[in-house]
Amino acid sequence: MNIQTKRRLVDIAVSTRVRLARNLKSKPFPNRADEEALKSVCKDVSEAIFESNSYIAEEFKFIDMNAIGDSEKERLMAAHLISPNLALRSHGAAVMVNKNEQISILVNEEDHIRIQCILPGLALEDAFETANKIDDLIESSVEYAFDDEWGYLTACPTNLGTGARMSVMLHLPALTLTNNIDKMLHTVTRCGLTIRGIYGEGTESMGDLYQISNQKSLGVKEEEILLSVKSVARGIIKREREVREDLVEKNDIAIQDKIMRAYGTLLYAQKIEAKEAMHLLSVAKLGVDMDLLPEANIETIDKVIGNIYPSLLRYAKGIPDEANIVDIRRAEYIRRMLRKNDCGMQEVK
Amino acid sequence: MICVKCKKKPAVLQLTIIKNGQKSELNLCEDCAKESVINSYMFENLITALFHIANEDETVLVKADHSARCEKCGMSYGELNKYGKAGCDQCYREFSQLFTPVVKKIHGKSQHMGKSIHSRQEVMRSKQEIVILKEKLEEAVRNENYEKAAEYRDLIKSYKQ
Repeated sequence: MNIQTKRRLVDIAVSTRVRLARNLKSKPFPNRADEEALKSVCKDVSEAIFESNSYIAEEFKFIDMNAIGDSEKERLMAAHLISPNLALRSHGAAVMVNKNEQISILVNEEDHIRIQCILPGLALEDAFETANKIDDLIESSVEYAFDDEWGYLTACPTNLGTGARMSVMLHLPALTLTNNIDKMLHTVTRCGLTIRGIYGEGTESMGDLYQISNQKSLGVKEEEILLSVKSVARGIIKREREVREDLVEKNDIAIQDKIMRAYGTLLYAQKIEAKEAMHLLSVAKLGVDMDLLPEANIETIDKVIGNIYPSLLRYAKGIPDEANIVDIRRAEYIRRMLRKNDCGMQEVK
Repeated sequence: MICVKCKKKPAVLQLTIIKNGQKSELNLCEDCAKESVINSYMFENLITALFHIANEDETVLVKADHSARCEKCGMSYGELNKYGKAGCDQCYREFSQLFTPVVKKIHGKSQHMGKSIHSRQEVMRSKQEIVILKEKLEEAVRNENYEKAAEYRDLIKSYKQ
């Protein structure tokens, strides 16, 4: 694989996430556990990691959800290391995060333990292997709730069996722009997989980002889940790339116009909502990939995308942002970032 | 569309009932929906909806169990029905007749395959092997390859012993 195709593959597959849901046999699941039981789960799980003789112990730090402020919660959420659900728990919830922030162990979310590994690009094997190792390490010092027929027992019956959810986040602007996305998403559903928004269950898609993942976790081996998600992801990536190449070849003025206008709006808008900004930045990314926007820089666009999201915590709590002010600041920030790049200046933080 | 039960008021709810593999649809008005077996028709989530459909399947069984509570976590049938989530590992055993059709509907399977806890690894290996052999047996029968089918049958027997 040459560098060019590799870069493009990473462009489309944004990230891979594997999570394993586990519960301790000795305690009720978090939704039925009292504070004492929740604390005891925290203790058991943290000891399983920190008192192990594994090198893993030194990699992790323990974060009590009660001990951190909203801004840190916000940061962890944006990095997908914790879920809004965990951040909102009033007591007994914690997370263990490793140094490079690719692995997180959520304690007392919907299940006692959720082991999660997030890697950039399409990397299901590596992500699964990592999560699996952590699972083995924890199991060596606790007893999991397990049933011979239904596998690992989880609070929600949708996670029974392997307790595994494997997902790939895909950036599909060309399929979206050419109105091919619905057909594609339909195919995903037919293959027994589901599509979610970028912040998991129930969230909508933003910026042409789609998360595909397995729907069924019982009666299928981990390896089979992995293969099905991987092959569907690969199929979609291939299609997105074909459509992009087709767009370049056709030299379609209407499409080029859409892309240039999107960038123009980003450069000049005075107030902009997150959803619109995400969409326009996504189209601009496509423009860069199609060599239509030589002045734009993909790293800057990615950085902007990472920083313009509305407050997830406020969103989770149901408090609306002070829309007008935020929208004005967001537009200001986008203009500043993109123009800096225009003049060839390095951004100074 | 008007309600199929009272034939007067407009139907606001469509119920899909799958009974013995046969699908039927009922369009009911608010009042008739409240009156029918499904007393809470505002499904909180998919699972809760599935629970209700599951009840339709096994009305008698489930009705007899309404007062049941999980010994370990105190979850009642009503609470489970409402939230659609188990309170502990014991709930799955306590309310197995409620969970069995739900699990089957969600996953289409009822035998866990793949990784298992250390202490059950050996048992699970043969359990899962039997599932795979049974699938192979069925396929052999479908292809009228009876010699192979007999081989699989014997293998299954040896695993069960």
